[in-house]
Amino acid sequence: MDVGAFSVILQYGLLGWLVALVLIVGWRGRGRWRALIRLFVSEGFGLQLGAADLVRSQLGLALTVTVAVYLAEAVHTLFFMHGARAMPDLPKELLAVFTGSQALYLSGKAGRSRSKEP
Amino acid sequence: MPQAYWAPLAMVVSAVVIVMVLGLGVSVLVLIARGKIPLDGLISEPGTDKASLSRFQFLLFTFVIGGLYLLLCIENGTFIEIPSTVLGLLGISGGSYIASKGIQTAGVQATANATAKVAQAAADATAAQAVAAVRAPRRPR
Repeated sequence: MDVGAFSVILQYGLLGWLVALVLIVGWRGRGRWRALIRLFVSEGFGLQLGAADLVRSQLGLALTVTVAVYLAEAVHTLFFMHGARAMPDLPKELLAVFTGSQALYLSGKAGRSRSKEP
Repeated sequence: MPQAYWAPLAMVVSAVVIVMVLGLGVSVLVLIARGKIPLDGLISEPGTDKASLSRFQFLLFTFVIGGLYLLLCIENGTFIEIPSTVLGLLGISGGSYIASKGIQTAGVQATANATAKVAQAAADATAAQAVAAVRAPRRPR
C-alpha cells in the first residue's frame, strides 16, 4: 500500500460524505421541503395574498432552466468526455438571462419591502 | 537511501490526515442526523415557514457545482479548471442571497423605526392631553 492508495481512499471517502450529506439534509429537512410549494405565491404586499407572483415565478423558471442546462452539460462531460480537464462551461447568454432574472427578483423584493413599510 | 526513511513517514502523515478529514466529516454528519446542527434556516428564514428563493438557489448551486467538481477531480486524479461562467454563476447566486438579506433587514429596520415613531407620537399626544387637562381652568360650582 502506497501514498497513492491513501489519496484514492480520501477521494472516494469525500464523495461518499457528500452523498451522505445530501441524503441526511434531505431526511432531516423533510418537514421543511413543504415550504417550497409556496415559493411562487405572493406574500401579500401589493399583491393579493396567495396569488401567483410573477417576479418569483420568472426567477424559478430561470433557475430551473439554468440548473437543467448545467446538469445536461455535466452528464455529457461525465459520461462522454473522459479525462476532461475543466468543469463544463455555461453559455454566456444563459448567464446573462440568469443575471437579469436575479436583478428583476431583487428589484421586486425591494419594491415590496417599501410598500410593506407603514 | 533517504527515500527509505521518508516513505514510512509519508504513509503515517497520509493516514493521519485521512482519519482527521473523514472523522471531521463523519462527526458533522452525526451532529446533523441527531439534530445538534439545526437546519431551520436551510431553505426558509428562521422563524417563518415560507421558503426563500435566494437560499434555495444558493443551496442548489453549491451542491450541484461542488458535487460535480469532486466527481471530475476524482476521475482526473488532480484539481480541474473552473470556467469563469461557473464562478460567475456561484457569485451571482451568493450575491443575490446577500442582497436579499440586506433588503429584508432594511425593511424590518424601517418597520421598527416607523412603529417607534408612531408609539412616540401617541405617547406625546397623551402627555399633551394630560398637561392640558391639568392646566384647564376649573368650572365654578
